[in-house]
Formats: sequence, C-alpha cells, structure tokens
Amino acid sequence: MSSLALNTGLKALLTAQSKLETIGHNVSNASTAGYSRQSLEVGTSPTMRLHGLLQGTGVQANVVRRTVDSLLQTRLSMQGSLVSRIDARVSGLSQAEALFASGSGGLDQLFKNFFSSLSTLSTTPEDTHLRSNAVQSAANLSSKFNALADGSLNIGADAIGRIQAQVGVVNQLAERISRLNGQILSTESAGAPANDLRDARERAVSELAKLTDVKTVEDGRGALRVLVAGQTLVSPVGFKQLEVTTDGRTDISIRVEGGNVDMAISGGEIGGLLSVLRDFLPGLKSDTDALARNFILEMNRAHSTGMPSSGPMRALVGSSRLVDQDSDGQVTDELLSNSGLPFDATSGDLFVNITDLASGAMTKHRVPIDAARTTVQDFLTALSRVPNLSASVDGQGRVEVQADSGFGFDFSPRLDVAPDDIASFGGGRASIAGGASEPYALALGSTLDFNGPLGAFSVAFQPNQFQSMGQATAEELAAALNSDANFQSNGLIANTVGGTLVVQSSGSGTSQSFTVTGGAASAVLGWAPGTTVTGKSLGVNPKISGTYSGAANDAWTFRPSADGTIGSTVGLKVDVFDQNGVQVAQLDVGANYQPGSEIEVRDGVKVAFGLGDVSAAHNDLFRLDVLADSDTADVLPALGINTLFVGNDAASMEVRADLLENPELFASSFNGASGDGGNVLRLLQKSESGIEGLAGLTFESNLTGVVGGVALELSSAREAGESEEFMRQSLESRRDQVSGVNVDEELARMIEAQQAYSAAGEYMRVVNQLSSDLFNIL
Amino acid sequence: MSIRPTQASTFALVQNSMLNNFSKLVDAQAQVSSGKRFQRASDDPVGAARALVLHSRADANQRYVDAIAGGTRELDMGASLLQDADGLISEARATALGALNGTTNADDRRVMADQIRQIKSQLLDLANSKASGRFLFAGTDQSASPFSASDVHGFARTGYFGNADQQQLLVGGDQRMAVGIPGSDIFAAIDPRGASFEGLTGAASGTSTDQGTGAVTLFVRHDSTTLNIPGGVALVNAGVGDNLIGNHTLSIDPVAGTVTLDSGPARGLPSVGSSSYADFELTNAQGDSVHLDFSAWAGGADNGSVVGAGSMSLDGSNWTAIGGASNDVELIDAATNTVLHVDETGIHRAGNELVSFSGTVNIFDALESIADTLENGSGLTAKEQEARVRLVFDELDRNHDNVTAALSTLGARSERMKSLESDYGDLDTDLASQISRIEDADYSQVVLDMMRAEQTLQITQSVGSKLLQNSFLNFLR
Repeated sequence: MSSLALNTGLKALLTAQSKLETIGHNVSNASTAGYSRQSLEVGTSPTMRLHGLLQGTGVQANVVRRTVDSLLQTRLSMQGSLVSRIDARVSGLSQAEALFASGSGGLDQLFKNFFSSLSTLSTTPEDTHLRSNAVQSAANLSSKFNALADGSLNIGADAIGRIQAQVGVVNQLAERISRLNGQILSTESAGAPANDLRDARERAVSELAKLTDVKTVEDGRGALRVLVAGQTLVSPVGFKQLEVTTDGRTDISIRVEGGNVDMAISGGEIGGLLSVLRDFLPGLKSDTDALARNFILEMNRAHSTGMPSSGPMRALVGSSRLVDQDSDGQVTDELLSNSGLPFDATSGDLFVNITDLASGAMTKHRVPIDAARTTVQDFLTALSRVPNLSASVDGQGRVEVQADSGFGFDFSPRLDVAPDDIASFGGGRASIAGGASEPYALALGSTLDFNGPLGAFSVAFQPNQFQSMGQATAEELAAALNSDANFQSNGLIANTVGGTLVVQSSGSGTSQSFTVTGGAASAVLGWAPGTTVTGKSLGVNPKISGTYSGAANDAWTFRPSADGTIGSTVGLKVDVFDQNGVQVAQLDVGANYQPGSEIEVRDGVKVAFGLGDVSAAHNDLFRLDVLADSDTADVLPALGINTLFVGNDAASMEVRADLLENPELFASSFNGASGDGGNVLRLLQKSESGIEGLAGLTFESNLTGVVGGVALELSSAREAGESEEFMRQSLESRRDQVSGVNVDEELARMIEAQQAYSAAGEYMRVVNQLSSDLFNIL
Repeated sequence: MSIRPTQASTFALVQNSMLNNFSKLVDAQAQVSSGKRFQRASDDPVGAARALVLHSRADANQRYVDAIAGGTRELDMGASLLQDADGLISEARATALGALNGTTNADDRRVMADQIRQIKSQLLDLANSKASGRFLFAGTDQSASPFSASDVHGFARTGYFGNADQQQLLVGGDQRMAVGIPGSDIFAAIDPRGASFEGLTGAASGTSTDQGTGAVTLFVRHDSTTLNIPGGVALVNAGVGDNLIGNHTLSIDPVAGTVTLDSGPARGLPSVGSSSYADFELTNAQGDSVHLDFSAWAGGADNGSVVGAGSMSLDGSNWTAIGGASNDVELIDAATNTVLHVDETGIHRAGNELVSFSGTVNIFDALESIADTLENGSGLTAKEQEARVRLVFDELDRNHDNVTAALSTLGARSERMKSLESDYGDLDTDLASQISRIEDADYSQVVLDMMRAEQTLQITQSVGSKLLQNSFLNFLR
C-alpha cells in the first residue's frame, strides 16, 4: 500500500510543482506582448482495483494549454492592419497639407501678391519699378508652383522609400512565420501544444498585418498558410519573398518572387502608402496642374494680345517648340493644332496689327486658322502674307515673327482708328466697289471693260486664275485684274474689302477718273455700263475712337444710304451692318452733322467722318473689325508668342526668360500708349472672373478647393484613424481579458498550489509515518 | 464572460487616458498661444476653406481700396489744378474785356497782351503738370508733354500731343473706373459748329459745310486796281499798294475840296505841289484804300468807280481769284485737311481774315489770338481789334465751360471713389469679423478648456497611480 500511497503523494507533489511552474511562467510573462496566459490541465490518475476496491491513484498533470480566442486574435490583426493603413495615409496627407499650407509663403499669398502688384502697376503703368515688381511676383508664383510639383514628387519618393523598407520587413516576417510553422509542427507532432511558439507566430502575423493585408488559414496539423493580397506568401512547406521595382519618384510595383502579377496591396502601412502614391498624389498633381495650366493659359491669352509700353514689337520668338510628329525631319508640315505644342491651337482667327512706326498708321489683318486643315507652313505663309511681316521657324522649332524695318506688329484687339486704308469710302481715289460680295459667278470668256486715262481696254478672265470660275473670290478677281498689263498701265488697282472687290485709281485727286464700259463681269459685279468714277481732293477719311465693349468678335461694314456730301446732303445716312448682313446702326451724317464730330456707333465704338462726297451708287464702303478676342484660335499661347509664362503645368511653369531679363517687355498697354494700363486691367480682371477650364471657378476659389480637399481628406482620415484606433484598443483589451495575465489571480492560484504541495507533503509524511510505525512493530 | 481585468490592460488604460488628456491640454495650449482656433487646415477643413475664400475676397478688396486711394489722389490733384485753371481763364477774360471798353490806348493794350500771354504760359505749365511722374492731362500717352507749340502756316499754335484715352483702374470685379480726363477734353475739346469770320475783308461763310480745326487765316490778296473816272486822276504805281477789292465809288467835289471813297469819310484834296499830290491814299470807313495821283487832274468834279481785283488762299500758295459773284467758293488746304466755303460777294479789301472754326479753337490758341490782336502787329483799328477779340471770346468761354465741366466730372468721380472706398471699408470690416469668427480662438472658452484639460489630467494621474499600486502582493507578507 505504501508504495502506491507514496506514489499518489509524489504525483500530487509533482502536479503542484507543475502548477507553480506554469504560474511562474504566467507571472513572468505578464507584460510580454502577445503572450497568452497558460494553465495546467489537471486530471485524476487512472483508478486501480485493489482488494476488490476501485482505488484512485491521485492526480496527474495532463497538458499545459494557452487560453486564447483565435477569432478575436484574427479580428485584432485585421484591425491593426486598418489602423496602420490609416496612419500611413495620414502621414502622407500631412506632408501635403504642410506643402499647401496657406498664409505667408503659401500659394494663396503669392496669388495675392501677384494680383496686388498688377493693381499697383495699373495706377502708374509706365513706372519701370512697378513693372519689374509685377514680373518678379509672377516669377515668385511660378517658383511656388514648381516647389509644389517638386514637393508632391518628394512625398511620393518618401512613400516609395518607406514601402521598400517595409517590404524588407515583410520578407523577414515571412521567413520567421515559416520557421515557426516548422517548429510548431515538430513540437506538436510529439503531442503537446506548442503554446509559446504559437504565440510567437501570432505575434509575427500581427506584425505582418500592420504592414499589408493578410489572410491566414491553418491546416489540420497546425501549419499556417499566409496570403498577402490574395497571393501565398507562406505555405506550410515554405515561404516566398516579395520583390520591388520602382522609378523611385512616382510609382512602385510589388510582386511575389517569380510572379508576374502586381500585388494590389490595400491594407497595412504598405497599403496606406500605396494609396497615397497611387490615388492621392496623382489627384493632387492633376488638381495643381489644372490650376497652373489654366492660370498660364488665361494670363498668356491676355498678355499675348497686349503690348509693351514702348508700343508695337519689332521681332518676337515663340517659347514653344514645334514637334516633328511624323518624324519626316520637318516640323512645318504638321497640322498647327497637332504639332506637339503645350497648348492646343483651335479653329479661329488671329488678328495682327501692323504699324508704320514713322506715321503711326495701323492696319489690321486677319489670319484664319482651321484646326483640321491649317498646317504650320500654311500659318507661316498666311502671316508672311501680311504686309511688312514675316514669320518662320528657327533651328529649334520655334516660330519667329519679324516686322520689316520701320514697322512694328502687335496682336491687340484695339480698334483700327483709320480703317478705310484704301480710301473706298468717299476717299480721294476714283473708286467703285462691287454691288455684291463674293462669290462672283464668272463664266468662260467673261471680261471687264474700262475706259482709263490711256483709253479703252478690256480685261479677260482666264479659268486658271480661279479655283472655280463660277465661284470666284474677291481676292482671286483682284489678283487677276492687278496682273493685267492694261489695267496696270492705266494706273488702276484692285483691292478687296471683306470679300467685296473694289477697283480704284492708284492716285487721288479730282484728276483721277475711269469708266466701267461693260463686259460680262460688270453685270456680275452690279456695275452699269458707262459708270464713271472720279477722285476727290479731300477724302471723308472716317476716324474710329473708343474701345469695343461687345462680347463677341464682329466685322462691321459701313455704307452710305445715298449719294451725297457728309454734313450737307439732307437726310444722308451711313448704315452699319454686322458680318451677317444685319443692320446694327444707322448714323445721321446729313445736313445736321458737323464733319469731324464723333457719333456713337454702338458698344463703345465711335466714328467721325470728314467733309466729302460719298456714293451709294458706287457702293462706297469700309469695314471695321471689332474684336473682343484677337486670338480666338489660341495660337499665341500655343506658340508661346508674347506670353507671360512658359510651360503648361506646375512643374514646367516659368516666366518667359526674356521678360524676366527685361521687364520692359511686359505687355501692360492695350493700345500701345506708354501710359496705358489697359492690358494690366485685362490681366487683373481674370483674378475675379470664372475660368472656363476650372469649371467656372476663379483661380483663388479653385486653389481653396485644392487646399480644402487635402485638408478635408486629412481630417476625415484622422477621424477614421481615431475611431479605428479606439476599436483596436477595445479589441486589445478584450484579448487581454481572455488571454492576459492577472497577477493577483496568479498569486491566488500560487497560494492554492503552495497549499496543495504542503498538503501532499503532509500526506507523504503521514504515509511514511505509517510505514515506519509498521516497521517498528515488525 | 465576466470582466477579467489584468494589470497590463489597467496599465494601458491609465496610459491611454493620460495621453488623451495631455493632448487635449497641448491643443488648448496651442490655441491660447497662437490665438487661432485651428493650427492646420485639417483641424477644421470647412472653416479653413471658408476662411481662405474670405481672405481672398479681403485681398481683392484691399487691392481695390489701394487702387482707389491712388486714383483719388490723382483725381484730387487734377481737380486742384483745374481750379487754378478756372481762375486763370477768368482773369484772362476780365483782362480782355477791359481791353475792349474803349478807354484803353494802344500801350495799355500791349500791357494787357503781355498779361494774357503770361496767363497762357501759366495755363500751359498747368496743363503739362505731372503727378508722381505722370502727365495728368495727357490721356494715356506719357511719351511727351501733352501740350506744346506747333506751327501752322507760320502762325504759332499750341497742339495736343497726348491721346484721348482715359487712364482706368479696376475698382471691383470687372468694374473699371476712369481717373484722368485727357487734356484734349479739357483745354482743346472739339465741338465743331462751322466757321466764323472776323469780318475784316468782308469775306463771309459760304453756304456749304466747312471742315477745319482751330483758327485759320484766310489770306485775301489784292492783285490790281482799275480806275474808271474821267478828269485825269490816275492810279499810283498801277495800283500796287492798294488794298480795295470789288466795286467802289469815287467822287471828287472841287467845290467842297473833298474826295470820297464809297460813303466816306470825305477827305480834303491834297494841295498842289504837296508830296501827297502825286500819291494820295484815300481810305473809306472800312479801311479800304486806293492810292491816287492828282498830277494830271483837270480840276473838275468827277464821279466814277474804282474796281479792285484779288485772290484768296488758305495756305498762301494755292490762290483762287475772287470773282465777286459766288456765295460758295470752296477753298481747300489738303495739308491741314481744311475745307472752307467763302461767300465772296461782300469782299471789299485785302488782308488776313481770321477765320475761327467755332468749337475747335483750344484755350491756348484763343488766348494767343487775343494777345496777338491786342498787340496789334498788323495795325488794325480799334474796331477791327474788337471784332477779332470778340470772335475768339466765344471760344474762350467754351473752353472755360469745358474746364468747369471737367472739374465737376473730377469732383463727381472723386465722390464716387470715396463712396466706393467707404463701401469697401464696410465690407472689409464685415469680412474681418467673419474671418475672425472662423479663425480666432475664443479666449475665455479656450482658457476654460485648458484648465479643464489640466484638471482632468491631474485626476487621471492620481487615480492611475492608485490603481497601479493595488496588488495582492501588498497583503502577502
């Protein structure tokens, strides 16, 4: 009996000892992260049949088990993944917020400075210091845009750097988990649960979840399969490494070693950084670029159609380079609308003003652009066809515009103050204009017969002089007439006024005279045979003043209502038609009109007529271009001619180099007068007007949108971060309630174990005593 | 499951709540020290965005206020100069009026001419004034002084070399406001009303409309004289030196001993042998004159006619003969773009006829013309001088009116500017208070928050330390 009893006592002693050891293990790991408290599972030893009795043989320690809620554990690592993702986003967004911070040195401040410098300049437009100041603030604004572009790239580069580092950590964790898998398998195949190894593996998975999104599946034998973004990173038999390829600035791709699919990691720190890199930063960049681009475009539109205070320009080189799109070695055969320019040239018109610098006389010329047809060469040819102007492409693919010596050019929408250049409206020349506008329906063998100073002659038209003889244009007809030898020798010239043919004497004065005697073409032109026209000693010479305030471009044609003398003939009127032939005004120039006094036409345009005879019978007319926008095709911003800025996004934005060097080139003037600040006001007006390319917002409210967008995203990320962190903490505390070590509890159980040990000892002493007593008796 | 706290979770709890309360304290502290309710835009994205919008509006406001301040300065400067101009013109007018009252002699008039010239030169300085390096009355053409001397067919004139534009400022959205008035509208406004003649030669305005600017001179030249009178009286030097043009009557009355041209006055006949006997200048009341030689005179009573032929010209080089019958002779000076229609029927003598294109003579030319007339270099009679002065008087008054009108325009603009400025001032206050409401920390609130955070932190610390001290161990001795 004694050996059995002793054995029972011994087992009790050993079990109590094991309990104490487990408690010791728990207490010592009370503050170990991820530790799950363990407890000794105790059972009774098998009973024995002794002397017909079923006798218990004491206690035995079965197994040491962790107390763990594995579902909770999984949720906790997922929550950790979420929190890390948000933290990473917040850190990226915070950097962007600092970059776009408002106030001193902020983009808003620099916008403010730029517009204030313009406002100050507008009070004294000829002041050179104020002009330099305006150019300098434009340069400061560009630098800030450059800094923003650069800063955004740096945030991206920073995120890439961190991703690279964290992928390294992921690889280490994969290796560790795989190693632990092996150890757990070998431990547990011996039958005992590998408690501490499992804790360690769970810790590693938690760590991994903080970096990426993780899914785990445990197989029947206790090995863990770890999937990252749907791809196996750790399998029960091994693990794989992640590989990274990146340009270091804008993008990164992560693949499983040997794989060919980019991993779409969305969770954890890496997921957060990727979302900053792939979602947030590109959006921010496109917002910033849109702001910069539209600002550049709007400023350039206004600037390119203004003039320096020194007046018309002599020569300009564009800042944009034409690109040889079809790689045939030349750039001039490309479509102007598709020649690799930073901004697109569209269909529309460009108006060029040519000024004779000695006399100040200005003529306005229209250069039409068809986006689907006009090539660079067509455009250059059209520009070069403007008298006293030449355009070419330089060796670097930039368009060069140059005026002849003694002439200047500009692109201002200002009014032509003396629009009747060819004196076809009561001018000094003997002049007759077509009764109708083009196209003129000529037939084979059509002639136009005249009686000039040298006698009668006839001009015969040839089919090769026209694209289509039945649809002859005024230009073609004029060219055909001007090439005729008799026409020339009789001192006649043919001109056109907005698609109407005008035949005139080249000299002026009362001695100038010719007669249209007939020919088939005269009927087409509406000229009665025998019509004689005579020059005058003084022309009517209409003078235009004012500034056109209309919203759209138009071309007005002025025609007298009857034959008569300005200021004398009772009831004489001048009718004004728009380009669609609709009458827009009627001006009284009859007996009550004092020659030389101004009459308002409309939309701020005034006209004054000199004393002289006008003729409705001879179709006297002149045409006036009234412009709201002298570059509806956006050619100047596209080619970078006379612009304020170059570049087309935040990174490339710069003030035009020669402007920066010589602020006198700043186009402050609208009409070329040195003290005129009209163009400064046009630039300034953009500050508060809605910009089409920015969905009708002003620059500053768009900027507010960008800055506000970052702030809003950041603040909502922060809020989400706080609530997810709270959730994580609450999960953590629940895990702690289940698996954590309460030292007090352990102490209580230690006392219990201690007492059990003492009791077992006492029992063994009693058994021993009984045995000794028995021996003594024997 | 029953709550099973552990030391680790208690510790984490205490730690978290301390961190939480401490960050609240730091937050409140930052608000107190910066005075701002939020330090970063993300602290209050909506507020920050609204503040940014308000700031940009306030900035635009400030730009307008600055522009208005600059504009008002220029307007006030211009107004004060025009006030002076107003005084000067009144003075010139009074002086010229004084010269016409009949009690002045030629010397007095020369002095007055000097005074008027002086006024003109002061006025010219004034019209060429600069304010902060800018010609006030040059429009937007700042390349040269707006008014300077120019020469028209040998006559000194003052021309305007600025432009007719007005300098503008942006005083709101797309609201522009003109600040300057170009000198051409003040001192040289053109409001053509046709030509008027001083009446020296008898030439008058024709029936057709004329064209021209300022005062031009119609040159009327005497070409030859024909004498139709019996009795031996002859012309001197074939009529060279006469100035009469057209038909005149001549009567010699030996009984009364007088000779009369037209209606007089009758002049005494020269005595035989006197120097004037062979060259007697006979003039009528209008100053028409003919030189007569009495050497071969028979001494009888004679009545006849004397006819002068002449030509007229605007530029002194292209001459048109005076036929005497047309009431609408067209004269053209292509160089100055002048067209003048002359009624030649009344022309009775040669001379330089001052023709003023009413409504086109600038103030300087008007003053110069008055001074010139009073100085009387061409030897006009008092009556002729008066006619000339009166001719430009209207122009003086018209220019005076323009100066006064410009003054009131400037005044009205200045008023408008001031009212705009005060509007913007109100708006600015309003914006500032809106911005403050969004951005600025409410001190009493923030300080209270800070104290609360501090107290809570202290309580957390003390409770935490007690909580962490509790252990079964303390009782196991």
